[in-house]
Amino acid sequence: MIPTQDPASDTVADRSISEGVRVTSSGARGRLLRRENSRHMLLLPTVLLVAVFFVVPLGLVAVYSLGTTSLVSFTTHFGWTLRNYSGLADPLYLGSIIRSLLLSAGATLACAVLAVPMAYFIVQQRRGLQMILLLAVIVPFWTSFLIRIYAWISILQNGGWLESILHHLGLVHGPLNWLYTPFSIGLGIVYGYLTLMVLPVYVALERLDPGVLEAADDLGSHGWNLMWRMVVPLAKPGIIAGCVLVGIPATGEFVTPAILGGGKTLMLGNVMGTQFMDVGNLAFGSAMAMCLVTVVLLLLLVQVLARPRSRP
Amino acid sequence: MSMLRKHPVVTVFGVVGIGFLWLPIVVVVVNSFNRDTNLVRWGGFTLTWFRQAAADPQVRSGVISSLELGLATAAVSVVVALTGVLWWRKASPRGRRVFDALVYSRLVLPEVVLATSLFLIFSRAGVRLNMVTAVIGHTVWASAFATVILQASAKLLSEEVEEAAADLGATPFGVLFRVTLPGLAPGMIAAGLLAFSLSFDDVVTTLFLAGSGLSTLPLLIMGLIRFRVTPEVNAIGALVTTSMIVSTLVVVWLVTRRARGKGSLARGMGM
Repeated sequence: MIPTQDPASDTVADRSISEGVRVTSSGARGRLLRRENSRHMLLLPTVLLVAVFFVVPLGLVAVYSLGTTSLVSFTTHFGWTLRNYSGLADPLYLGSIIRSLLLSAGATLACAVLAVPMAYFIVQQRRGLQMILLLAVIVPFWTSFLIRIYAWISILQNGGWLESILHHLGLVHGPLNWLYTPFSIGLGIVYGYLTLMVLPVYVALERLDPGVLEAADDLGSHGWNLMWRMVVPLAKPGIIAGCVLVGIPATGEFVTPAILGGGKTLMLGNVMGTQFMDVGNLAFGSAMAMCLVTVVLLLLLVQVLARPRSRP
Repeated sequence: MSMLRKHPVVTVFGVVGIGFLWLPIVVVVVNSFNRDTNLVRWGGFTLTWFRQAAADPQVRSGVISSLELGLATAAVSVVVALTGVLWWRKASPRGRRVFDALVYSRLVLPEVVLATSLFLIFSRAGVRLNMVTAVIGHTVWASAFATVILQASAKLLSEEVEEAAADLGATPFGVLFRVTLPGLAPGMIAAGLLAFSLSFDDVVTTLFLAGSGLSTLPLLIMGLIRFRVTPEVNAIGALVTTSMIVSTLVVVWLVTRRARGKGSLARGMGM
Protein backbone atom coordinates (compact mmCIF):
# COMPACT_ATOMS: atom_id res chain seq x y z
CA MET A 1 0.00 0.00 0.00
CA ILE A 2 1.13 3.52 -0.67
CA PRO A 3 1.19 5.46 2.57
CA THR A 4 -1.06 8.44 2.33
CA GLN A 5 -3.04 10.63 4.68
CA ASP A 6 -5.34 12.18 2.14
CA PRO A 7 -8.56 10.13 2.12
CA ALA A 8 -9.36 11.37 -1.40
CA SER A 9 -6.29 9.59 -2.80
CA ASP A 10 -7.44 6.19 -1.53
CA THR A 11 -9.35 5.37 -4.66
CA VAL A 12 -6.42 6.35 -6.89
CA ALA A 13 -4.07 4.19 -4.89
CA ASP A 14 -6.51 1.28 -4.84
CA ARG A 15 -7.11 1.45 -8.55
CA SER A 16 -3.46 1.69 -9.50
CA ILE A 17 -2.99 -1.55 -7.58
CA SER A 18 -5.96 -3.21 -9.18
CA GLU A 19 -4.66 -2.16 -12.59
CA GLY A 20 -1.39 -3.82 -11.64
CA VAL A 21 0.57 -0.63 -12.19
CA ARG A 22 3.22 0.29 -9.71
CA VAL A 23 3.23 4.00 -9.00
CA THR A 24 5.51 5.84 -6.70
CA SER A 25 3.98 8.04 -4.07
CA SER A 26 5.04 11.23 -5.86
CA GLY A 27 3.65 10.00 -9.18
CA ALA A 28 0.25 9.29 -7.65
CA ARG A 29 0.29 12.62 -5.97
CA GLY A 30 1.14 14.46 -9.21
CA ARG A 31 -1.64 12.70 -11.09
CA LEU A 32 -3.99 13.44 -8.24
CA LEU A 33 -3.07 17.12 -8.34
CA ARG A 34 -3.69 17.29 -12.09
CA ARG A 35 -7.01 15.57 -11.64
CA GLU A 36 -7.85 17.94 -8.76
CA ASN A 37 -7.14 20.95 -10.97
CA SER A 38 -9.31 19.74 -13.83
CA ARG A 39 -11.99 18.81 -11.28
CA HIS A 40 -12.12 22.41 -10.09
CA MET A 41 -13.09 23.43 -13.65
CA LEU A 42 -16.51 21.99 -12.75
CA LEU A 43 -17.05 24.89 -10.40
CA LEU A 44 -16.43 27.43 -13.18
CA PRO A 45 -20.03 27.82 -14.47
CA THR A 46 -21.40 28.44 -10.97
CA VAL A 47 -18.59 30.84 -10.01
CA LEU A 48 -18.83 32.78 -13.29
CA LEU A 49 -22.60 33.07 -13.02
CA VAL A 50 -22.48 34.24 -9.41
CA ALA A 51 -19.56 36.63 -9.95
CA VAL A 52 -20.68 38.31 -13.18
CA PHE A 53 -24.45 38.27 -12.77
CA PHE A 54 -24.88 38.42 -9.01
CA VAL A 55 -21.96 39.92 -7.09
CA VAL A 56 -20.92 42.58 -9.63
CA PRO A 57 -24.48 43.87 -10.25
CA LEU A 58 -25.11 44.08 -6.50
CA GLY A 59 -21.83 45.94 -6.05
CA LEU A 60 -22.94 48.34 -8.78
CA VAL A 61 -26.23 48.90 -6.94
CA ALA A 62 -24.24 49.79 -3.81
CA VAL A 63 -22.12 52.27 -5.81
CA TYR A 64 -25.14 53.77 -7.57
CA SER A 65 -26.96 54.25 -4.27
CA LEU A 66 -24.21 56.72 -3.30
CA GLY A 67 -24.35 58.59 -6.63
CA THR A 68 -26.72 61.13 -8.15
CA THR A 69 -28.94 60.57 -11.18
CA SER A 70 -29.84 63.66 -13.15
CA LEU A 71 -33.52 63.44 -14.05
CA VAL A 72 -32.92 65.71 -17.04
CA SER A 73 -30.19 63.82 -18.86
CA PHE A 74 -30.62 60.44 -17.03
CA THR A 75 -26.90 60.18 -16.43
CA THR A 76 -25.56 59.15 -13.05
CA HIS A 77 -22.63 60.83 -11.33
CA PHE A 78 -20.80 59.01 -8.60
CA GLY A 79 -20.38 61.60 -5.92
CA TRP A 80 -20.40 59.53 -2.71
CA THR A 81 -23.42 61.31 -1.33
CA LEU A 82 -25.92 60.01 1.20
CA ARG A 83 -28.67 62.16 -0.28
CA ASN A 84 -30.51 59.11 -1.68
CA TYR A 85 -30.67 57.53 1.74
CA SER A 86 -31.92 60.69 3.42
CA GLY A 87 -34.47 60.94 0.58
CA LEU A 88 -35.93 57.64 1.84
CA ALA A 89 -37.11 59.53 4.93
CA ASP A 90 -39.58 61.47 2.76
CA PRO A 91 -43.06 60.51 4.08
CA LEU A 92 -44.03 59.15 0.66
CA TYR A 93 -41.20 56.60 0.64
CA LEU A 94 -40.95 56.07 4.37
CA GLY A 95 -44.65 55.15 4.25
CA SER A 96 -44.03 52.39 1.71
CA ILE A 97 -41.05 51.09 3.69
CA ILE A 98 -43.03 50.96 6.94
CA ARG A 99 -46.04 49.46 5.14
CA SER A 100 -43.81 46.76 3.63
CA LEU A 101 -42.29 45.91 7.01
CA LEU A 102 -45.65 45.87 8.82
CA LEU A 103 -47.35 43.83 6.10
CA SER A 104 -44.56 41.28 5.91
CA ALA A 105 -44.25 41.05 9.71
CA GLY A 106 -48.02 40.61 10.09
CA ALA A 107 -48.19 38.07 7.27
CA THR A 108 -45.25 36.12 8.72
CA LEU A 109 -46.90 36.03 12.14
CA ALA A 110 -50.19 34.88 10.61
CA CYS A 111 -48.32 32.16 8.72
CA ALA A 112 -46.76 30.93 11.98
CA VAL A 113 -50.14 30.90 13.77
CA LEU A 114 -51.65 28.84 10.95
CA ALA A 115 -48.64 26.63 10.28
CA VAL A 116 -47.95 25.27 13.78
CA PRO A 117 -51.34 23.54 14.20
CA MET A 118 -51.26 22.51 10.53
CA ALA A 119 -47.83 20.87 10.89
CA TYR A 120 -48.88 19.31 14.20
CA PHE A 121 -51.99 17.93 12.53
CA ILE A 122 -49.88 16.35 9.75
CA VAL A 123 -47.37 14.86 12.22
CA GLN A 124 -50.20 13.15 14.12
CA GLN A 125 -51.34 11.13 11.11
CA ARG A 126 -50.26 7.70 9.88
CA ARG A 127 -47.11 7.76 7.77
CA GLY A 128 -48.81 7.20 4.42
CA LEU A 129 -51.37 9.89 5.12
CA GLN A 130 -48.56 12.22 6.24
CA MET A 131 -46.97 11.96 2.79
CA ILE A 132 -50.28 12.72 1.07
CA LEU A 133 -50.94 15.72 3.32
CA LEU A 134 -47.41 17.03 2.76
CA LEU A 135 -47.97 16.76 -0.99
CA ALA A 136 -51.23 18.66 -0.52
CA VAL A 137 -49.20 21.44 1.11
CA ILE A 138 -46.29 21.40 -1.37
CA VAL A 139 -48.10 21.07 -4.71
CA PRO A 140 -50.08 24.35 -4.56
CA PHE A 141 -46.86 26.18 -3.65
CA TRP A 142 -45.08 25.03 -6.81
CA THR A 143 -48.10 25.90 -8.92
CA SER A 144 -48.22 29.21 -10.82
CA PHE A 145 -47.79 31.95 -8.20
CA LEU A 146 -49.33 34.50 -10.57
CA ILE A 147 -52.51 32.49 -11.13
CA ARG A 148 -52.87 31.60 -7.44
CA ILE A 149 -52.71 35.26 -6.44
CA TYR A 150 -54.93 36.31 -9.34
CA ALA A 151 -57.62 33.85 -8.19
CA TRP A 152 -58.14 35.89 -5.02
CA ILE A 153 -59.59 38.73 -7.10
CA SER A 154 -62.62 36.64 -8.00
CA ILE A 155 -62.94 35.36 -4.42
CA LEU A 156 -62.68 38.73 -2.66
CA GLN A 157 -64.37 41.04 -5.14
CA ASN A 158 -67.59 42.83 -4.26
CA GLY A 159 -70.56 40.76 -5.37
CA GLY A 160 -68.36 37.65 -5.39
CA TRP A 161 -69.39 34.39 -3.79
CA LEU A 162 -67.43 34.93 -0.56
CA GLU A 163 -69.54 38.04 -0.04
CA SER A 164 -72.77 36.14 -0.69
CA ILE A 165 -71.74 33.35 1.72
CA LEU A 166 -70.98 35.89 4.43
CA HIS A 167 -74.28 37.64 3.71
CA HIS A 168 -76.18 34.38 4.08
CA LEU A 169 -74.44 33.72 7.38
CA GLY A 170 -75.37 37.24 8.45
CA LEU A 171 -71.76 38.08 9.28
CA VAL A 172 -71.45 40.99 6.88
CA HIS A 173 -73.92 43.50 5.51
CA GLY A 174 -73.37 45.51 2.37
CA PRO A 175 -70.36 45.22 0.07
CA LEU A 176 -67.21 43.53 1.40
CA ASN A 177 -64.69 46.13 0.15
CA TRP A 178 -61.85 43.76 0.98
CA LEU A 179 -60.17 43.72 -2.42
CA TYR A 180 -57.44 46.28 -3.24
CA THR A 181 -56.71 47.00 0.42
CA PRO A 182 -53.70 46.25 2.66
CA PHE A 183 -55.79 43.35 3.98
CA SER A 184 -56.03 41.70 0.56
CA ILE A 185 -52.27 42.13 0.04
CA GLY A 186 -51.56 40.60 3.46
CA LEU A 187 -53.93 37.73 2.75
CA GLY A 188 -52.22 37.14 -0.61
CA ILE A 189 -48.79 37.05 1.06
CA VAL A 190 -49.96 34.63 3.78
CA TYR A 191 -51.51 32.45 1.11
CA GLY A 192 -48.48 32.65 -1.18
CA TYR A 193 -45.88 31.65 1.42
CA LEU A 194 -47.74 29.54 4.00
CA THR A 195 -46.08 26.38 2.64
CA LEU A 196 -42.64 27.82 3.47
CA MET A 197 -43.70 27.95 7.13
CA VAL A 198 -45.48 24.59 7.33
CA LEU A 199 -42.53 22.58 5.95
CA PRO A 200 -39.77 23.62 8.42
CA VAL A 201 -42.23 23.38 11.36
CA TYR A 202 -43.20 19.90 10.18
CA VAL A 203 -39.54 18.89 9.93
CA ALA A 204 -38.92 20.18 13.49
CA LEU A 205 -41.93 18.33 14.92
CA GLU A 206 -41.32 15.16 12.93
CA ARG A 207 -37.82 14.76 14.39
CA LEU A 208 -39.22 14.74 17.90
CA ASP A 209 -39.52 11.69 20.04
CA PRO A 210 -43.29 11.03 20.15
CA GLY A 211 -42.75 9.82 23.70
CA VAL A 212 -42.13 13.38 24.90
CA LEU A 213 -45.57 14.57 23.86
CA GLU A 214 -47.20 11.34 25.02
CA ALA A 215 -45.58 11.73 28.42
CA ALA A 216 -46.86 15.32 28.65
CA ASP A 217 -50.30 14.07 27.63
CA ASP A 218 -50.20 11.31 30.25
CA LEU A 219 -49.13 13.78 32.90
CA GLY A 220 -52.24 15.83 32.26
CA SER A 221 -51.14 18.43 29.73
CA HIS A 222 -53.86 18.59 27.09
CA GLY A 223 -55.27 20.87 24.44
CA TRP A 224 -54.24 24.48 24.58
CA ASN A 225 -51.84 23.81 27.45
CA LEU A 226 -50.04 21.04 25.53
CA MET A 227 -49.93 23.20 22.41
CA TRP A 228 -48.55 26.27 24.11
CA ARG A 229 -46.23 24.61 26.67
CA MET A 230 -44.94 21.70 24.56
CA VAL A 231 -45.60 21.88 20.82
CA VAL A 232 -44.70 25.53 20.23
CA PRO A 233 -41.38 25.41 22.15
CA LEU A 234 -40.43 22.17 20.43
CA ALA A 235 -41.34 23.59 17.03
CA LYS A 236 -39.34 26.78 17.70
CA PRO A 237 -36.34 26.04 15.43
CA GLY A 238 -38.77 25.33 12.58
CA ILE A 239 -40.78 28.48 13.31
CA ILE A 240 -37.63 30.62 13.24
CA ALA A 241 -36.48 29.06 9.95
CA GLY A 242 -40.00 29.56 8.57
CA CYS A 243 -40.08 33.21 9.64
CA VAL A 244 -36.90 33.85 7.65
CA LEU A 245 -38.15 31.86 4.65
CA VAL A 246 -41.47 33.77 4.63
CA GLY A 247 -40.25 37.16 5.86
CA ILE A 248 -37.60 37.67 3.18
CA PRO A 249 -39.75 37.23 0.05
CA ALA A 250 -42.70 38.93 1.80
CA THR A 251 -40.70 42.11 2.43
CA GLY A 252 -39.56 42.27 -1.19
CA GLU A 253 -42.94 41.20 -2.57
CA PHE A 254 -43.79 42.65 -5.98
CA VAL A 255 -46.47 40.55 -7.69
CA THR A 256 -48.98 40.35 -4.81
CA PRO A 257 -49.29 44.12 -4.24
CA ALA A 258 -49.33 44.70 -8.00
CA ILE A 259 -52.34 42.35 -8.38
CA LEU A 260 -54.22 42.62 -5.07
CA GLY A 261 -53.25 46.23 -4.25
CA GLY A 262 -55.03 47.69 -7.25
CA GLY A 263 -52.25 50.26 -7.68
CA LYS A 264 -53.17 51.95 -4.40
CA THR A 265 -51.27 50.24 -1.61
CA LEU A 266 -47.79 49.67 -2.89
CA MET A 267 -44.90 48.01 -1.16
CA LEU A 268 -41.19 48.84 -1.30
CA GLY A 269 -40.53 46.46 -4.20
CA ASN A 270 -43.10 48.19 -6.41
CA VAL A 271 -41.99 51.72 -5.51
CA MET A 272 -38.42 50.68 -6.23
CA GLY A 273 -39.36 49.12 -9.56
CA THR A 274 -41.06 52.37 -10.56
CA GLN A 275 -37.87 54.31 -9.80
CA PHE A 276 -35.91 52.05 -12.14
CA MET A 277 -38.40 51.59 -14.96
CA ASP A 278 -40.59 54.71 -15.11
CA VAL A 279 -38.92 57.55 -13.20
CA GLY A 280 -35.41 56.58 -14.25
CA ASN A 281 -33.85 57.66 -10.96
CA LEU A 282 -31.38 54.78 -10.83
CA ALA A 283 -29.45 56.18 -7.87
CA PHE A 284 -32.54 56.56 -5.69
CA GLY A 285 -33.87 53.16 -6.76
CA SER A 286 -30.51 51.66 -5.80
CA ALA A 287 -30.76 53.16 -2.32
CA MET A 288 -34.16 51.45 -1.96
CA ALA A 289 -32.61 48.18 -3.13
CA MET A 290 -29.88 48.51 -0.49
CA CYS A 291 -32.62 49.10 2.06
CA LEU A 292 -34.23 45.75 1.08
CA VAL A 293 -30.84 44.00 1.17
CA THR A 294 -30.32 45.35 4.69
CA VAL A 295 -33.67 43.93 5.84
CA VAL A 296 -32.71 40.53 4.38
CA LEU A 297 -29.33 40.58 6.13
CA LEU A 298 -30.98 41.54 9.44
CA LEU A 299 -33.44 38.65 9.12
CA LEU A 300 -30.59 36.23 8.39
CA LEU A 301 -28.69 37.61 11.39
CA VAL A 302 -31.73 36.96 13.59
CA GLN A 303 -31.74 33.35 12.42
CA VAL A 304 -28.02 32.90 13.11
CA LEU A 305 -28.35 34.43 16.59
CA ALA A 306 -31.45 32.37 17.40
CA ARG A 307 -29.81 29.11 16.36
CA PRO A 308 -29.00 26.89 19.32
CA ARG A 309 -25.26 26.91 19.91
CA SER A 310 -23.69 23.64 18.84
CA ARG A 311 -21.19 22.13 21.22
CA PRO A 312 -17.61 21.97 19.89
CA MET B 1 -47.45 9.94 17.54
CA SER B 2 -50.66 8.24 16.49
CA MET B 3 -51.22 7.26 20.12
CA LEU B 4 -51.65 10.93 20.91
CA ARG B 5 -55.14 12.25 21.53
CA LYS B 6 -56.16 14.26 18.51
CA HIS B 7 -57.56 17.61 19.47
CA PRO B 8 -60.49 18.72 17.28
CA VAL B 9 -59.15 22.29 17.02
CA VAL B 10 -55.88 20.98 15.56
CA THR B 11 -57.84 18.90 13.06
CA VAL B 12 -59.91 21.94 12.06
CA PHE B 13 -56.74 24.01 11.53
CA GLY B 14 -55.18 21.21 9.47
CA VAL B 15 -58.17 20.64 7.22
CA VAL B 16 -59.06 24.33 6.81
CA GLY B 17 -55.40 25.26 6.24
CA ILE B 18 -54.94 22.74 3.45
CA GLY B 19 -58.33 23.71 1.99
CA PHE B 20 -57.18 27.35 2.06
CA LEU B 21 -54.10 26.40 -0.02
CA TRP B 22 -56.27 24.70 -2.65
CA LEU B 23 -59.27 27.06 -2.71
CA PRO B 24 -58.00 29.60 -5.28
CA ILE B 25 -56.76 26.84 -7.59
CA VAL B 26 -60.18 25.17 -7.49
CA VAL B 27 -61.88 28.53 -8.09
CA VAL B 28 -59.80 29.20 -11.22
CA VAL B 29 -60.37 25.74 -12.66
CA VAL B 30 -64.13 25.80 -11.95
CA ASN B 31 -64.52 29.32 -13.34
CA SER B 32 -62.69 28.38 -16.53
CA PHE B 33 -65.77 26.27 -17.38
CA ASN B 34 -68.25 28.85 -16.10
CA ARG B 35 -70.59 30.33 -18.72
CA ASP B 36 -71.41 33.35 -16.52
CA THR B 37 -69.32 36.27 -17.91
CA ASN B 38 -69.15 38.12 -14.61
CA LEU B 39 -67.96 34.92 -12.87
CA VAL B 40 -70.05 35.73 -9.85
CA ARG B 41 -72.26 32.65 -9.92
CA TRP B 42 -72.40 29.38 -11.83
CA GLY B 43 -73.95 29.96 -15.25
CA GLY B 44 -73.56 26.50 -16.75
CA PHE B 45 -70.73 24.54 -18.36
CA THR B 46 -68.87 25.90 -21.38
CA LEU B 47 -65.60 25.48 -23.25
CA THR B 48 -65.89 28.92 -24.89
CA TRP B 49 -63.12 30.51 -22.82
CA PHE B 50 -60.63 27.81 -23.78
CA ARG B 51 -61.51 28.27 -27.48
CA GLN B 52 -61.27 32.03 -27.11
CA ALA B 53 -57.87 31.80 -25.42
CA ALA B 54 -56.54 29.35 -27.99
CA ALA B 55 -57.62 31.60 -30.88
CA ASP B 56 -56.09 34.76 -29.39
CA PRO B 57 -52.87 35.58 -31.33
CA GLN B 58 -51.45 37.49 -28.33
CA VAL B 59 -51.91 34.43 -26.12
CA ARG B 60 -50.30 32.21 -28.74
CA SER B 61 -47.20 34.38 -29.09
CA GLY B 62 -47.05 34.77 -25.30
CA VAL B 63 -47.09 31.01 -24.84
CA ILE B 64 -44.35 30.57 -27.45
CA SER B 65 -42.14 33.26 -25.85
CA SER B 66 -42.64 31.72 -22.40
CA LEU B 67 -41.85 28.23 -23.70
CA GLU B 68 -38.63 29.46 -25.35
CA LEU B 69 -37.62 31.39 -22.25
CA GLY B 70 -38.42 28.46 -19.96
CA LEU B 71 -36.62 25.86 -22.08
CA ALA B 72 -33.48 28.00 -22.49
CA THR B 73 -33.44 28.76 -18.75
CA ALA B 74 -33.93 25.09 -17.86
CA ALA B 75 -31.14 23.96 -20.21
CA VAL B 76 -28.57 26.46 -18.92
CA SER B 77 -29.68 25.94 -15.30
CA VAL B 78 -29.23 22.17 -15.50
CA VAL B 79 -25.70 22.58 -16.93
CA VAL B 80 -24.74 25.03 -14.15
CA ALA B 81 -26.35 22.85 -11.47
CA LEU B 82 -24.86 19.59 -12.75
CA THR B 83 -21.27 20.86 -13.00
CA GLY B 84 -21.63 22.51 -9.60
CA VAL B 85 -23.05 19.41 -7.91
CA LEU B 86 -20.36 17.15 -9.44
CA TRP B 87 -17.77 19.44 -7.85
CA TRP B 88 -19.69 19.67 -4.58
CA ARG B 89 -19.92 15.88 -4.18
CA LYS B 90 -16.15 15.50 -3.86
CA ALA B 91 -15.48 18.79 -2.12
CA SER B 92 -14.05 19.21 1.39
CA PRO B 93 -16.48 20.26 4.14
CA ARG B 94 -15.18 23.82 3.81
CA GLY B 95 -15.61 23.76 0.04
CA ARG B 96 -19.16 22.51 0.53
CA ARG B 97 -19.96 25.40 2.86
CA VAL B 98 -18.66 27.93 0.33
CA PHE B 99 -20.66 26.23 -2.43
CA ASP B 100 -23.84 26.29 -0.34
CA ALA B 101 -23.30 30.01 0.31
CA LEU B 102 -23.07 30.57 -3.46
CA VAL B 103 -26.39 28.74 -3.88
CA TYR B 104 -28.42 30.05 -0.94
CA SER B 105 -27.38 33.69 -1.39
CA ARG B 106 -29.15 33.57 -4.78
CA LEU B 107 -32.27 32.08 -3.18
CA VAL B 108 -32.64 34.56 -0.31
CA LEU B 109 -32.13 37.80 -2.23
CA PRO B 110 -35.55 39.29 -3.14
CA GLU B 111 -36.12 38.76 -6.83
CA VAL B 112 -36.92 42.43 -7.43
CA VAL B 113 -33.44 43.41 -6.16
CA LEU B 114 -31.78 40.80 -8.37
CA ALA B 115 -33.74 41.92 -11.43
CA THR B 116 -33.09 45.63 -10.93
CA SER B 117 -29.39 45.09 -10.26
CA LEU B 118 -29.09 43.23 -13.57
CA PHE B 119 -31.19 45.92 -15.26
CA LEU B 120 -28.69 48.45 -13.93
CA ILE B 121 -25.59 46.62 -15.15
CA PHE B 122 -27.08 45.88 -18.58
CA SER B 123 -28.13 49.48 -19.10
CA ARG B 124 -24.72 50.69 -17.86
CA ALA B 125 -22.97 48.34 -20.31
CA GLY B 126 -25.28 49.40 -23.14
CA VAL B 127 -26.64 45.85 -23.60
CA ARG B 128 -30.02 45.74 -25.36
CA LEU B 129 -32.65 43.95 -23.31
CA ASN B 130 -34.00 40.87 -25.12
CA MET B 131 -34.50 37.14 -24.71
CA VAL B 132 -30.82 36.59 -23.84
CA THR B 133 -30.80 39.06 -20.93
CA ALA B 134 -34.07 37.54 -19.68
CA VAL B 135 -32.56 34.03 -19.79
CA ILE B 136 -29.51 35.28 -17.86
CA GLY B 137 -31.71 36.84 -15.18
CA HIS B 138 -33.87 33.73 -14.85
CA THR B 139 -30.83 31.45 -14.74
CA VAL B 140 -29.32 33.29 -11.75
CA TRP B 141 -32.10 32.03 -9.45
CA ALA B 142 -33.45 29.07 -11.43
CA SER B 143 -30.03 27.38 -11.43
CA ALA B 144 -29.89 27.80 -7.64
CA PHE B 145 -33.21 25.93 -7.30
CA ALA B 146 -31.95 23.33 -9.80
CA THR B 147 -28.76 22.90 -7.73
CA VAL B 148 -30.73 22.29 -4.51
CA ILE B 149 -32.84 19.62 -6.22
CA LEU B 150 -29.79 17.98 -7.77
CA GLN B 151 -27.93 18.01 -4.43
CA ALA B 152 -30.86 16.14 -2.87
CA SER B 153 -30.71 13.62 -5.67
CA ALA B 154 -26.90 13.29 -5.42
CA LYS B 155 -27.15 12.53 -1.69
CA LEU B 156 -29.08 9.38 -2.58
CA LEU B 157 -26.45 8.20 -5.05
CA SER B 158 -24.13 5.70 -3.41
CA GLU B 159 -20.43 6.33 -3.96
CA GLU B 160 -19.73 2.64 -3.51
CA VAL B 161 -21.08 1.83 -6.97
CA GLU B 162 -18.74 4.38 -8.53
CA GLU B 163 -15.81 3.01 -6.53
CA ALA B 164 -16.70 -0.50 -7.61
CA ALA B 165 -16.81 0.57 -11.26
CA ALA B 166 -13.41 2.23 -10.88
CA ASP B 167 -12.01 -0.87 -9.16
CA LEU B 168 -13.26 -2.97 -12.05
CA GLY B 169 -11.21 -0.85 -14.44
CA ALA B 170 -13.56 1.90 -15.63
CA THR B 171 -11.84 5.15 -16.59
CA PRO B 172 -12.92 8.35 -14.79
CA PHE B 173 -14.98 9.30 -17.87
CA GLY B 174 -16.44 5.81 -17.99
CA VAL B 175 -17.53 6.13 -14.37
CA LEU B 176 -18.99 9.57 -15.05
CA PHE B 177 -20.98 8.65 -18.15
CA ARG B 178 -21.97 5.10 -17.27
CA VAL B 179 -22.55 5.32 -13.51
CA THR B 180 -22.76 8.87 -12.12
CA LEU B 181 -24.79 10.63 -14.82
CA PRO B 182 -27.35 7.82 -15.23
CA GLY B 183 -27.72 7.87 -11.44
CA LEU B 184 -28.29 11.61 -11.47
CA ALA B 185 -30.63 11.55 -14.49
CA PRO B 186 -33.90 11.63 -12.51
CA GLY B 187 -32.56 14.52 -10.46
CA MET B 188 -31.54 16.34 -13.65
CA ILE B 189 -35.03 15.93 -15.11
CA ALA B 190 -36.59 17.14 -11.86
CA ALA B 191 -34.20 20.12 -11.68
CA GLY B 192 -34.92 21.01 -15.31
CA LEU B 193 -38.69 20.75 -14.82
CA LEU B 194 -38.54 22.97 -11.75
CA ALA B 195 -36.34 25.57 -13.50
CA PHE B 196 -38.71 25.51 -16.48
CA SER B 197 -41.85 25.93 -14.33
CA LEU B 198 -40.39 28.80 -12.32
CA SER B 199 -39.16 30.54 -15.46
CA PHE B 200 -42.43 29.95 -17.34
CA ASP B 201 -44.39 31.54 -14.49
CA ASP B 202 -42.05 34.44 -13.77
CA VAL B 203 -43.20 38.06 -13.77
CA VAL B 204 -40.59 40.16 -11.99
CA THR B 205 -37.33 39.22 -13.72
CA THR B 206 -39.02 39.19 -17.14
CA LEU B 207 -40.58 42.60 -16.50
CA PHE B 208 -37.18 44.21 -15.90
CA LEU B 209 -34.96 42.22 -18.26
CA ALA B 210 -36.97 41.14 -21.32
CA GLY B 211 -37.23 44.56 -22.94
CA SER B 212 -40.30 45.82 -24.74
CA GLY B 213 -40.03 43.37 -27.62
CA LEU B 214 -40.75 40.24 -25.60
CA SER B 215 -44.17 39.64 -24.07
CA THR B 216 -44.38 36.39 -22.17
CA LEU B 217 -47.60 34.77 -21.00
CA PRO B 218 -47.30 36.02 -17.38
CA LEU B 219 -46.70 39.60 -18.57
CA LEU B 220 -49.74 39.30 -20.84
CA ILE B 221 -51.83 38.01 -17.93
CA MET B 222 -50.61 40.87 -15.71
CA GLY B 223 -51.87 43.29 -18.36
CA LEU B 224 -55.22 41.51 -18.75
CA ILE B 225 -56.09 41.26 -15.06
CA ARG B 226 -55.30 44.80 -14.05
CA PHE B 227 -58.46 45.69 -12.08
CA ARG B 228 -60.66 42.84 -13.28
CA VAL B 229 -61.06 39.11 -13.84
CA THR B 230 -61.60 37.85 -17.34
CA PRO B 231 -62.93 34.42 -18.29
CA GLU B 232 -60.13 34.00 -20.82
CA VAL B 233 -57.45 34.33 -18.13
CA ASN B 234 -59.26 31.65 -16.10
CA ALA B 235 -58.96 29.26 -19.03
CA ILE B 236 -55.23 30.02 -19.44
CA GLY B 237 -54.78 29.79 -15.68
CA ALA B 238 -56.56 26.44 -15.48
CA LEU B 239 -54.28 24.99 -18.16
CA VAL B 240 -51.09 26.45 -16.64
CA THR B 241 -52.08 25.37 -13.12
CA THR B 242 -52.99 21.80 -13.96
CA SER B 243 -49.85 21.27 -16.05
CA MET B 244 -47.72 22.69 -13.21
CA ILE B 245 -49.43 20.39 -10.70
CA VAL B 246 -48.56 17.43 -12.91
CA SER B 247 -44.96 18.61 -13.34
CA THR B 248 -44.59 19.16 -9.57
CA LEU B 249 -45.84 15.65 -8.88
CA VAL B 250 -43.30 14.32 -11.38
CA VAL B 251 -40.53 16.34 -9.68
CA VAL B 252 -41.54 15.05 -6.24
CA TRP B 253 -41.69 11.49 -7.51
CA LEU B 254 -38.28 11.72 -9.19
CA VAL B 255 -36.60 13.28 -6.15
CA THR B 256 -38.08 11.02 -3.49
CA ARG B 257 -38.66 7.69 -5.19
CA ARG B 258 -35.49 6.19 -3.80
CA ALA B 259 -35.61 8.02 -0.50
CA ARG B 260 -36.74 6.03 2.48
CA GLY B 261 -38.10 7.32 5.70
CA LYS B 262 -40.26 10.13 6.89
CA GLY B 263 -39.34 13.70 6.23
CA SER B 264 -37.46 12.93 3.04
CA LEU B 265 -40.24 14.60 1.07
CA ALA B 266 -39.90 17.87 2.94
CA ARG B 267 -36.11 17.72 2.85
CA GLY B 268 -36.04 16.63 -0.77
CA MET B 269 -37.96 19.75 -1.69
CA GLY B 270 -35.14 21.83 -0.30
CA MET B 271 -36.35 22.36 3.23
